[in-house]
Amino acid sequence: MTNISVSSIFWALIKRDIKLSWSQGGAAGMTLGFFLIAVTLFPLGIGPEASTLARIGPGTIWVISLLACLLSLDRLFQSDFEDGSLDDLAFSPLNLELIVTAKAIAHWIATILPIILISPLLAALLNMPNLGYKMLILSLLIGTPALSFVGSVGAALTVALRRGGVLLTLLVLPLYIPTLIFGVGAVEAAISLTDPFPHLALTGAVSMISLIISPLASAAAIRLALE
Amino acid sequence: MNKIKKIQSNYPRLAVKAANLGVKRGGRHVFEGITLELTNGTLLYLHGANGTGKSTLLRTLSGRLSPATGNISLQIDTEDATLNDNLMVLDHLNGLKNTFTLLEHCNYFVRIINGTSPEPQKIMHSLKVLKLHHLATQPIKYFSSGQRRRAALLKFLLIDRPIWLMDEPTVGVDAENRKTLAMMLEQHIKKGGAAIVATHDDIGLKGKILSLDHYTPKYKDTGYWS
Repeated sequence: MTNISVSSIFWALIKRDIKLSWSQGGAAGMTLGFFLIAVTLFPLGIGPEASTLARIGPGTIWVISLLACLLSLDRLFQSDFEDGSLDDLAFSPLNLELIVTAKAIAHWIATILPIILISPLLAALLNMPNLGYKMLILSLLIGTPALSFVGSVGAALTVALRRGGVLLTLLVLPLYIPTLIFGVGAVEAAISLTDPFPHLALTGAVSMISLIISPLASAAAIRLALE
Repeated sequence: MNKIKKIQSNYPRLAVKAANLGVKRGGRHVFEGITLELTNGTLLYLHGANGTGKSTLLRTLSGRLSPATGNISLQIDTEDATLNDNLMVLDHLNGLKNTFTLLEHCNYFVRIINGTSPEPQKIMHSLKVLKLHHLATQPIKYFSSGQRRRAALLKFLLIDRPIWLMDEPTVGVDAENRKTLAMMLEQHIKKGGAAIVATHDDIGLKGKILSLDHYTPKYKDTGYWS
């Protein structure tokens, strides 16, 4: 197989998955809805005091992003597994590691990117200081690929389970902690006029590591599930 | 070597060999000691009662399940080749997406499995062969189960691979379309392809028969860790 056909399969798979997640029954729209509603609950629950909201703003948006991501992950491989498409994909010239990478990238583009794009709006709702906006988007852009990639491992491990969602949460959420700490750290640093770069660098490092390791782990888990 | 019959073949000379295959699932030996050989023009039927391992054998031959004993090899023009790139497999599940139209399904399928952009004429031809062309722009969720099965059979026409593995291809398919299936298989065999079909029905084509009833292990199970 030539390189050209491998990359064209890779892009076709990404396109297919984005289309599926925005079609009827796809997770992307609902995830975005969850993100909007869950963040909106905070001012209602905590009260409208501006300084309190400003204090919790960056953390809230990051935490709800994690949860929204988790919500969409359990269908990442499961829908393909249940209707047999995953078996067909196994006969593609693309190896399974690249297939899971493509699916994780598609998940990020279809589900996480809309969340990132709408996050400034919700940051305004939470009265976040102006200094933090750019850094919020930047830290989410750099940090969230780790959520999709690490999450893909959990999704692959629970693919054959009927109610895998809760187990997936237990498996994956602890692994999100570094991204959360450094991501929020970067925004807070920008707000408090200190140097956010170390935080961003660490967030990026977590994403890079997950990009390398998780496709191997996901592919191994999928192979087990296809037995 | 002079005994080999000349076959009119579009495919290179291929030989799939599986020797002494035995598979364990969930601690149970499903079958053991299966030896089979596939060359150009072989049509092999898998028969056997429920649970004798027809699907398991197909899963093993397609490389998704590793055998407990024995090995599988493919040679193309006497050189070792990977089985995965030369197989087309139909499982119990149809591999269709409810929200896609049939045409979208075909386009993505060709792109993802072959890596080439799909040719509209070839897709239309395949749809016509299986009498699905009037459904081309319908979302698959409105299909009946027989139509879904036929839509799944499309993959053999859309993508040109020498070895076909079919698991119960006739389930839900009406008499007329079973004839189409037989015709598809006949043409494939004539072209020099090979096929293994696990079925309870009579396809209507002559082929070798492998009955899995004879390969059920004789001894008692000794548990998962044996």
